[in-house]
Amino acid sequence: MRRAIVALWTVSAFFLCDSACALRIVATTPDLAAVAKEIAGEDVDVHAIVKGTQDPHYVEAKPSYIRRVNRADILIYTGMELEVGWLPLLIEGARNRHMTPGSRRLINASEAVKEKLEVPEEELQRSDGDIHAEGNPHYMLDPRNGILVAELLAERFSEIDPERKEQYEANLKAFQTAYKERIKDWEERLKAWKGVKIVAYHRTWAYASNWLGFEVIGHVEEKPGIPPGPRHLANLIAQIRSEKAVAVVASSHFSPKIPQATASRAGVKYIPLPQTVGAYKEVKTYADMFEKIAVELEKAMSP
Amino acid sequence: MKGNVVRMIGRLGSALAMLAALMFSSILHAQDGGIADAPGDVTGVSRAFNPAISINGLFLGNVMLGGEEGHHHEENGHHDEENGHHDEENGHEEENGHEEDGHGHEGHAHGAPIEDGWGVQEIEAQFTAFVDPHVKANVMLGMHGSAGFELEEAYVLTLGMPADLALKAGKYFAAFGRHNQLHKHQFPFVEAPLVHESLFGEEALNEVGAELSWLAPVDWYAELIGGVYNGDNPILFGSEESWDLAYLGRLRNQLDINDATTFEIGASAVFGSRTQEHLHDDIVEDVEESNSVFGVDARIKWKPLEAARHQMFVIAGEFLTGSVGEEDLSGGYALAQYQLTKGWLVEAGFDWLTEHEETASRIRAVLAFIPTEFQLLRLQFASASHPDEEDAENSVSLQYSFTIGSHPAHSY
Repeated sequence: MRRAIVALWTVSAFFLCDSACALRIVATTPDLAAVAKEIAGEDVDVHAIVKGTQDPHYVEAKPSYIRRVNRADILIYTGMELEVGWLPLLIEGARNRHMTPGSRRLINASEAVKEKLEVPEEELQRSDGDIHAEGNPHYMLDPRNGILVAELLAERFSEIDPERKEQYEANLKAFQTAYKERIKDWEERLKAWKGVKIVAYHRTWAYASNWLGFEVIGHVEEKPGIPPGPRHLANLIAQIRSEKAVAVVASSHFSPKIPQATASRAGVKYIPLPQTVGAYKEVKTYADMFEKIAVELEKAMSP
Repeated sequence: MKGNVVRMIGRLGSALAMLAALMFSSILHAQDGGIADAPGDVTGVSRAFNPAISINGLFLGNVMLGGEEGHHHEENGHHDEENGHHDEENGHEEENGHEEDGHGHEGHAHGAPIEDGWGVQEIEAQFTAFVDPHVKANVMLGMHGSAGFELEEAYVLTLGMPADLALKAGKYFAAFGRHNQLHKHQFPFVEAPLVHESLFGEEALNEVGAELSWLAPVDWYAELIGGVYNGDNPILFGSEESWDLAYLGRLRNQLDINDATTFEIGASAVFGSRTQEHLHDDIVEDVEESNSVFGVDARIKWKPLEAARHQMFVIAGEFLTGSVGEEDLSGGYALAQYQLTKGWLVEAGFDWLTEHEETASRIRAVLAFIPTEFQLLRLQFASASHPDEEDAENSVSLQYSFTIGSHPAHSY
């Protein structure tokens, strides 16, 4: 009897889903979705909840997102508390039995990241601003972490959808080869940034700095998520001058007003950079994002 | 005495409902072998599995404008609103009146914020954790004024039931409309709408029972909810027939018009019964009344996705109509919210209540300052007109809210 039900279920499931039941993958952020797409392949449906112009810290748990998670076979998220303000509600509301805590289909991409930065060692206090207990969550801004994430995704996709295992593994191989090549190119082009001092708007660039070797000497935000006061800005401008920082770098999704004003008062360049895929129209893939960053940084360095 | 028995049965009922929910979901999961491995050796006392705790503090200052007289009227008005329809309808029942007083007692300290002065409106502590891989639990304790803590909500929610179902069991704000499910610090204005206070009381429609909800397989978000409760609400239910339950039905639709705009429309109904003592030829008779409330709610929210624009615009409204005993009450609210910048929000709203063919109404306007998502300071001006009063009662309130502890997720 039970077998008959299972058989019936399988048959009906086969007829119910299009394109022979390819996985429906949902990622919280567009950078994760872009990597997932490259690993999954063209025939797999990959959707990003957050748009490239949104701040992933502050997203509202819209019911349409709940719908997405409800229908997902796999959910990929950044972790390290980046989505803590809204993802729990999506998962809770989605009542998707694949997405219960600890499920292999619920992929915390930060598990792939070996070297987590800015992990607080002291007791956490909100007086320190919007900090993350598990460290800085912007690890996708180092392409070497992107490769690690791709490896994790390929492994999990193969485990969940063994029929396409070869496809995932082949895509991963292509991804690794292509990105290792590109990384060499970006590193070469941005050699001049090694040891260069900058000021960042938010603590977005810790991983990029770790990769490219530029040094973030201060932040426009007084504390993460807390807008600066005049005294902090005055101190920061003095610091930019005395330490000879060359630029104020900010994610393009933040309002340019304060970082731009800070840069011009200190007499340095203001460089808006994409923090994720989709931040600019032309930034369509994970590689496009670094290409854009490389172009902007090169431009700022050329006299 | 009888009240206690009812309450005990209510508790028993909730315990049973929770147990049923837990067992049901566990059985379902056990079938897929989803049960996690048993923990290994436990050598010490660990804090690792403590629930996430967040505490919200809500403080309120009030000034009535218009001097002594205004204040006097206000107190009267408030009384009418609270007990008016009971007194006039069945003003003679001791027991029920007593029961309600007993319940209202805790409520009074916080629920009647229209008293001159500055005080603690509510301190709320929320504890959240997964019970196991199948169930999540939420416990909320509220301290109203400076009196002791009372249980506001305590429920479990299933995480992965099949067929897009979810079961919520325990004690919580019933899924009636939109406003009823909000906690005090989430209210759009300082006080609940007049019609909510009159139909559900100051504690809102907070019931012990179970709600089963189903996510319909359509392209937008459509949720169908059915609820069965013990029926404890002192105004609507409070039945002395211990197994007289209250029932709820709700359909909630939400669809994205575009990336920035979401439209929501819903309808709710709740019904149950209440035992009233009627004086008939000098003989007190128990009469079982059937009470029901119907409501519709709609909301449109515009919030551009660009992170740099912290703007938001909301128009929302709710209409409720209820029959309590032989009396019909209706009313609703309409409001508009506009967020100007990250830190500032303005709001205006109108709410009204019609009973005995007379309508009381109120206009409120709010200016809110939001320094971070963990703090809120708002200034409210309210002007209330009551059919018995010639002049409108005006008041100014200043409300402050803070949240500490674990980062609470915000519902949409």
